[in-house]
Amino acid sequence: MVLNKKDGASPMKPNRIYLVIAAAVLLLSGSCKRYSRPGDPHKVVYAMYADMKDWDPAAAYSLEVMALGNIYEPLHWFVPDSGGGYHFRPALATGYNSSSDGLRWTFHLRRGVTFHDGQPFTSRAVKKSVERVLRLGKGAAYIWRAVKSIKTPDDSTVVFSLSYPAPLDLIAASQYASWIMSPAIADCTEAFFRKGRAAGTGPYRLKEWKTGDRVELEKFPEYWGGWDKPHFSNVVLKIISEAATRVQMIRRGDIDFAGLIPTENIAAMRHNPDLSVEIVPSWRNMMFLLNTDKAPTNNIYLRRAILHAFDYRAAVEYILEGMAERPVAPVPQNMWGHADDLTQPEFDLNKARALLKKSGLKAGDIHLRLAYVASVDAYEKCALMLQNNLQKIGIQLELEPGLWNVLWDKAKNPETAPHIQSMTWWPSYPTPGDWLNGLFHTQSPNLFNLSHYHNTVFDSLVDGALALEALNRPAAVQRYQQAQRLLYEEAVALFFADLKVRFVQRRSVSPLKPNPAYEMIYFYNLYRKQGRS
Amino acid sequence: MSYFVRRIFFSFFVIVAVAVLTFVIMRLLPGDPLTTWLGDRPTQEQIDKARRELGLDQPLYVQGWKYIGNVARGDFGRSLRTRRPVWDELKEKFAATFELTSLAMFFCLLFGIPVGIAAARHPDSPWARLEKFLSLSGVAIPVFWLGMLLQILLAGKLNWLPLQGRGVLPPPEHSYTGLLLLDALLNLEYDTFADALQHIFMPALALSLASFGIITRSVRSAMGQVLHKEYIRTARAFGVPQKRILFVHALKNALIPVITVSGLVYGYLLGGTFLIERVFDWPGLGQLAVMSILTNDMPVVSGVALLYAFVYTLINLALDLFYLWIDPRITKNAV
Repeated sequence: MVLNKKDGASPMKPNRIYLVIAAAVLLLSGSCKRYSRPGDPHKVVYAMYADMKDWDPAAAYSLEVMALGNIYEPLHWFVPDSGGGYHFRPALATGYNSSSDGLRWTFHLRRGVTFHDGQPFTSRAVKKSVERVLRLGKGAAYIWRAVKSIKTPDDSTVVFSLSYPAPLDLIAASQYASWIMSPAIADCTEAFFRKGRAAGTGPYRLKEWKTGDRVELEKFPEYWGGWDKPHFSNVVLKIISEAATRVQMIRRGDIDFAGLIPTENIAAMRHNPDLSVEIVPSWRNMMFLLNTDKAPTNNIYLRRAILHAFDYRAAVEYILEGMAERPVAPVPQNMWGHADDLTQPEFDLNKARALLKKSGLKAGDIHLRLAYVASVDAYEKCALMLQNNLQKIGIQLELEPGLWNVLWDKAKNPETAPHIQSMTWWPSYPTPGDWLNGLFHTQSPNLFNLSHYHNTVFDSLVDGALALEALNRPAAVQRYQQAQRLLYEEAVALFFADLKVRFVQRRSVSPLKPNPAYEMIYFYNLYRKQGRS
Repeated sequence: MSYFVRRIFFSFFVIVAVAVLTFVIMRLLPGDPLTTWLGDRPTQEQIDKARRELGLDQPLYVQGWKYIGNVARGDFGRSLRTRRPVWDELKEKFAATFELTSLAMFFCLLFGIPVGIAAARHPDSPWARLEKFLSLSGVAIPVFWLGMLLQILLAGKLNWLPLQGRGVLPPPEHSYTGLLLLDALLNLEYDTFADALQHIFMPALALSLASFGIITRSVRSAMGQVLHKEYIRTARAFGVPQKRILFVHALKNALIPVITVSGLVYGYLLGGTFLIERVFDWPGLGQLAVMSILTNDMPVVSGVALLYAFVYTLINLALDLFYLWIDPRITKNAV
């Protein structure tokens, strides 16, 4: 202190400090342009939560469908009808027919279509695209495994010969492994695609991929569908992994669409006059798989007791906050083949106690383990609710949150498998068989039958239905419905939510036309409303 | 010279140890990395094929030996998540992280040293109170929360700065360094420079505020001690100007502990990028590491750990060499 007085320097007065800070702030604000972006009539921006993993349409099996579905096209699009039926909307094929034995499928192709690289679209492109899928054997390639040979009698006809009956009309409409690519790139290496290369026939072509930042698509002027409406010319898929950032950006108008918005932000967004919250149906459903092979959940009465100890209404209304419907059957309600005459167990603890008594197991001695994917908030809340309810009837439930790959590894192994395992499922192509075959059919080695369910009657019903899909679809539906009844009777899983997907969008963009068969937005159908930003 | 050689040897040892440790830890973690490689719904055929292709069917020691050998040749393997070579991923992201942490470090030093000196000279002044407030706040407030607060204020309310990302304009025509700010200047693309500066300002500020207090505290403490030394008193007695006493005679001697702390602070800043890059969607190594850890992408996690260790070691080595310039007595003591 003495030194300070001696040196004669006086401390800077607070006012001067504030002046310096104020000057710095003014300088900064003056140098920065305003960042709110008026709605560009030609450009639409969508926030993706992660980057593209795979640009190869033959191998991609994840969120890539958002970009690939706008660059490439399938032979036809699957369109669900309101009454549980469906029809196909022509894309690259204008029609198709199949032989009575389901072993020969002929598609008649659209003429005058050009790929983004200038190559003409012909039957050769279809053949090369499907052959690439089979050659690589990656992603959802297995859906095409019935294909024995592909013939191209002329440029606008392609004929698939199968080794066993398979529903090729459904397979050709899949959101995975069914995109038709230019023959010029169909023989390229995987490394070629990893650099972000694409050549389809869709309305948009790939302009730029900046890894970790954005994907930019631009209008393909020669698109066969034409550009006679106020379509967007540019599509930007901005990669924004942090949900809070997506919330801020859509509020400011930096982006037009955002998915995976936290539930706590939704109420505020509903009151924002510039935003609308769109809830669209999906084919995803959530469940807890009950281990039928491991004591004590190998006891059917205990499994039934568990089903009655779950509050389904609370799960849908309070935990998922309307973002789901209460399931009626293992197959979601908006999928063909769904069994709508089933009666789902009710939440009734008295009934659960009675069933527990019937099981012969002693309440208080039952200790179960439930494993769930920790990153999914709904699993955790539902698991806690079930834990609380089971405790009331004398069952101890231990919760084991974790990463999916860790849980999956344990759940496959009968020794380490939990009694209850969380699961979300969706189909690789539009068929109810995907749930029943993928999740509950006997598998060796076991991959996804994490209920460890083995029932020869169920297996033969599903096998028969899968074969009938190509020959007699109503008969297949009957078998699928019988198989679903069996799953309910045997209490193999606790189905608690048919999920919906929530998008927040700027009102300046025309409303979405959702299709649960494709987890994407088809930007070609959208436009910017005049006079809105 | 022997000091220098010994430091390089120890640095090399640290990097090899990090390589071995990260490999072992990642392999011992439960969970099959093939889920990341193959996606959510692989078939058994795909699993078997991929296990062979990636060499995961071999004993752990064989995998480890191969990994170390490949790393020595500069081959870090391929990302299980993106399927691109890990080195390509690291190259792309490193420049972004280096630019961010370097600017944050620059902010720390630019404001931390003067505030620390002022606080040492005038312990009861507003500068000292500001230093105390910022030091405590920086340490107490979680960096991701600070980042979000800045986003709400500077982007959400005031609309001064962009919310996230590294820039909206195309990158400079020629990339010399991978550092957007520097490349834009070298290409004389001032719009790109301004755009990059506006994007980097907020994450760098959030990152630097957390470490600002450490720098100011160490400067204040070191300067406080030096200003009481006899030679400073003598200099004053001889009428040496105050600025010269402070910035030539006192600061140079006070810098040694500050340099040591700066090396540690750079490490904190690198660690902070794991959170800040996530909040600001900054396409750097921190963001890459978080994604890779969450998806069990072992080659990338190992690659990021190695690169962080390398950079941290290199910076500390450079600082050690800087000591020699500041205080040549260190060499003798080290010997």
